[in-house]
Amino acid sequence: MNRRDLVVGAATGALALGSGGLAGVLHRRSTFGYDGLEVKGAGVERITPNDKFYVVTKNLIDPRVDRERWRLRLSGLVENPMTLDFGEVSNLKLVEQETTLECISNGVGAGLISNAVWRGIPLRELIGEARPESGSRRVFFHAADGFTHSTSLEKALDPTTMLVFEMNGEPLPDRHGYPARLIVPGAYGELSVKWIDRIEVIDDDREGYYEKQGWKAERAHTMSRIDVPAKNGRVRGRTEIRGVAFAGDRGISKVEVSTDGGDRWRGARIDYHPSRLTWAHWSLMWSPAAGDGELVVRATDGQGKPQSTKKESSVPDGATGLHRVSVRVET
Amino acid sequence: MKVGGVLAGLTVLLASLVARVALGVPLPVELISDRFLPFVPVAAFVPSLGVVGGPVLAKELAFYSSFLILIGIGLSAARGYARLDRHRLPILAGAALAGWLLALAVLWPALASNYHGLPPDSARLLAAGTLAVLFALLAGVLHVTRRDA
Repeated sequence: MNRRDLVVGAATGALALGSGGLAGVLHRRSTFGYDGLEVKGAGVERITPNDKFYVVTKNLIDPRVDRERWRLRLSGLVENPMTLDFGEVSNLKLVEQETTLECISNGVGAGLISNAVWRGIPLRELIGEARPESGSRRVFFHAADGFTHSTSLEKALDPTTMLVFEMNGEPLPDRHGYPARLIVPGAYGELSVKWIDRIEVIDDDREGYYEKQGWKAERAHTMSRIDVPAKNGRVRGRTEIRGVAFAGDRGISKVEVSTDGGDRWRGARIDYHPSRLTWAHWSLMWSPAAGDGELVVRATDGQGKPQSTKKESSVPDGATGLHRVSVRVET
Repeated sequence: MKVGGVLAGLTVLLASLVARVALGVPLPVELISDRFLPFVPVAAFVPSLGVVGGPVLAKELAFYSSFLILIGIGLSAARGYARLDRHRLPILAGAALAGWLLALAVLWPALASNYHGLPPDSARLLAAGTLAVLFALLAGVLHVTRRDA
């Protein structure tokens, strides 16, 4: 081995070590450990703690946005384009809104759904200040990570559509969109764009990241889930059945449970349902009888429309169907 | 040739990792996935994730295999460069320039992303500059490590 080979070999080793070290840093920051985090089962809380809130992200490594550098631009078909820094946006009058988010890929009985108290400003205040031009009809959102999504101008101007900076009394965690994200009640979570940095008022039908793939997230289906007892769990004597139900921004008016596979139904008690924008926590006390064994739940939204019983996968507009849980009744 | 190719690939890999960690510039794999994944219909996208064991495993696979791909690119480029007998440096420089321009053209919409939150125009400038450095490093290391350079 000559001197040149030695130098090249040493350089290769050093580069491999350096690359391995930085790859390790990125791996530790990556989404691999939390992407797909679910919230279900006996431990489901009314307000989901930030570190337990479900996460679905397109990213290998989520952004870590520098708040001092962050700017929000309102552009497109507006008479008054604006660029605002974090201080200017967060010094507006902030309001709190409890809202449940659900991922469009949440399957029947799955846990990609959580509830939090968000603090920020109604998006209509910002868009109103920018003064959309006549003929504008949609809004296109851009995020630091390249994610994009559109919605109707009407939805963007809905009083419940928010630009938020805090989650359960704390600044948004990085993985939930720090320093600012949207909250769009009624739609699936992909429309609540994280790390948002540009709002563009448009008059065309351009599609965002997941919209191009064919996802249709504008309207969350009514869902209900049994959290307790667990699937294939053993029950004996008087037992509590409980779970959650959610219907986007339409609220929940009724939850019913069957303990015999769907022949007979009983109304469950709604224990928690602070507004039409949140999930409902429900429960039912049950004394198992002969023939019992398959628990089924169904909900009715706040407009009186029952949950769809048709079993459909989440592609392309969210899953439908009833959650069924088989249990072993011990006498 | 092989060592030179590995060295070139590792140099590009290290530089892209430094740019990602220090400046928030997307890795090549992130640029490519953000550019092309939206065009994969959901009816094909979701089942394909299932084939590789779910979305998280698919991401890990993409993350680590992209490193090997960069080294593979270094090796392929080194092999091609070794075959040249004449006008080596101008051809290498021209190929690097062409590669950079092609990358800009293909990835342009995705270049506006920055994981530290830089505004889109600055982000695009930084990402384009980083790509230029990556192509220059690839060419430079190939040239320096060529046996009779």
